[in-house]
Amino acid sequence: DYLQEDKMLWRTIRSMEVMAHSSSFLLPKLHQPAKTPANNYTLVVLNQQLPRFMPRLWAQAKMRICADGGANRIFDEMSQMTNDLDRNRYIPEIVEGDMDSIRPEVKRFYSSQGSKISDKSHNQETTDLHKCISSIRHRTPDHEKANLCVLVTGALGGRFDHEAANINVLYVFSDMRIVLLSDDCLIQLLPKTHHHEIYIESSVEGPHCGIFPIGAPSTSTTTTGLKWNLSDAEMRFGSMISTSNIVDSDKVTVQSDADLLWTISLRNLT
Amino acid sequence: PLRPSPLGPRAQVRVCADGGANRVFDGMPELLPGHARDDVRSRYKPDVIKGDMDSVRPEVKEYYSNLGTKIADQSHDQDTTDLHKCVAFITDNSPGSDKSNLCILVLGALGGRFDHEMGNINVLHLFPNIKIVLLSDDCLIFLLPRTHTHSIHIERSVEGPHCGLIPVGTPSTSTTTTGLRWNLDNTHMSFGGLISTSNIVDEDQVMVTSDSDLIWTISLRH
Repeated sequence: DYLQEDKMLWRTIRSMEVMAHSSSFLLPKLHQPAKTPANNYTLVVLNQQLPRFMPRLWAQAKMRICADGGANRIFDEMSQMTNDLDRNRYIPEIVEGDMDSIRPEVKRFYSSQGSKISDKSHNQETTDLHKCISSIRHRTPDHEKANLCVLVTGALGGRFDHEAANINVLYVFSDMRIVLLSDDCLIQLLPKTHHHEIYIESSVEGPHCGIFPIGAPSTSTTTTGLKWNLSDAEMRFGSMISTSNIVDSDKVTVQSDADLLWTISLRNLT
Repeated sequence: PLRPSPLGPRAQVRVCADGGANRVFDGMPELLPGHARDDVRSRYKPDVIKGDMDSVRPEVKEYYSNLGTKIADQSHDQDTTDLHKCVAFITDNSPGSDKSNLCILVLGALGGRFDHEMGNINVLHLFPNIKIVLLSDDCLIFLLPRTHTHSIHIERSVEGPHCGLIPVGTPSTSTTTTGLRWNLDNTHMSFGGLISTSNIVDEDQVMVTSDSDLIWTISLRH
């Protein structure tokens, strides 16, 4: 009975919660829209060259955490980006991790400036990013979790196994909003439990985008707002995945039976 | 990548995928600053430039064309990535039906735009019977298809010790390895659960058997 099937499908869509996404954290602080899906940003800095727009992220974040050698990066690179020689203006609240990359003088400097040094060297089972996300989650009261968004720099590129481990952190902590950022793009998880509405900030991102079934295939994904939309489509590595797609609207929607990774290119931001 | 490539003289066919030709044109003289630019460019001349031609600079295309490089324009096919076109071209043009000796080395497939990287990793999955190695300054990756038990010889002078096994496309219910610091023993691997990263090669030979296609990665030394 096709009518009965249609009614059931509609009920499923209607009862699935909507998760809204926006990259408004990339806008200059003055241009923040009144309503954003999350307004409590925590920044995690991993040990790779800082993206050009790091000063924007730093200004947006209420809490900044350097994961081990990420502290070297802030120490060395932040002043060049801001033309501001005063390192005291960029003190992370926390320096966390196994401390095998941070230089001793950098650790001493931030410790003396009030950063909390959270030494997790006894725990060799998890990556620095995993440790940081776990701590953030532990520290965030339940009622604030929905508003929290963790912005991460330095997670992509470099050693491929590190990149894969960092992507896996998105899957392991799938109930948290975590955005991995590089100079070229951002990526975030779209959990299968939700219907996703992605608001595109075209002054800072796009038009290139993609959707990937990393970890497990999708038997059914449907999108709107893309140049090449998917309609109940199967996606699988070894078959079709959505790369080099183009955003065609201010709002992209995605619904799938599998956890998907969303990526969008970033415009030249400084 | 940062070093002058020892791959140059050994590779039998050199293909530039579209803007890859700009990279060779600009980059090879920079890596060999003691030599005359035209000498370097003719020594490191691609055999083919292939792809949709939307990135290669006109003067670069003309320069190599004048040196005898074949220009294989596929701008009409927008459905496949530049890497996919190149792999298809190489397999179509390699002698004999036995591709087991064929090994395709790829530079520039990792990093940059993530959707490009994913598209390139998908090419490994689309051509599981061909050895395709993606290389960066930091590491290399290739596919270990589930159809075979793999014996990976470790060239310790140039690679390692950091390595990993990643089930990109589907979870693995059972993977077994030898030769690693933390071997897997009938182990389940999946995104959202355990994947093998920051592992260490402990022996000259690593063996891998799995019920799922895995991406093998190993770090490269300086």
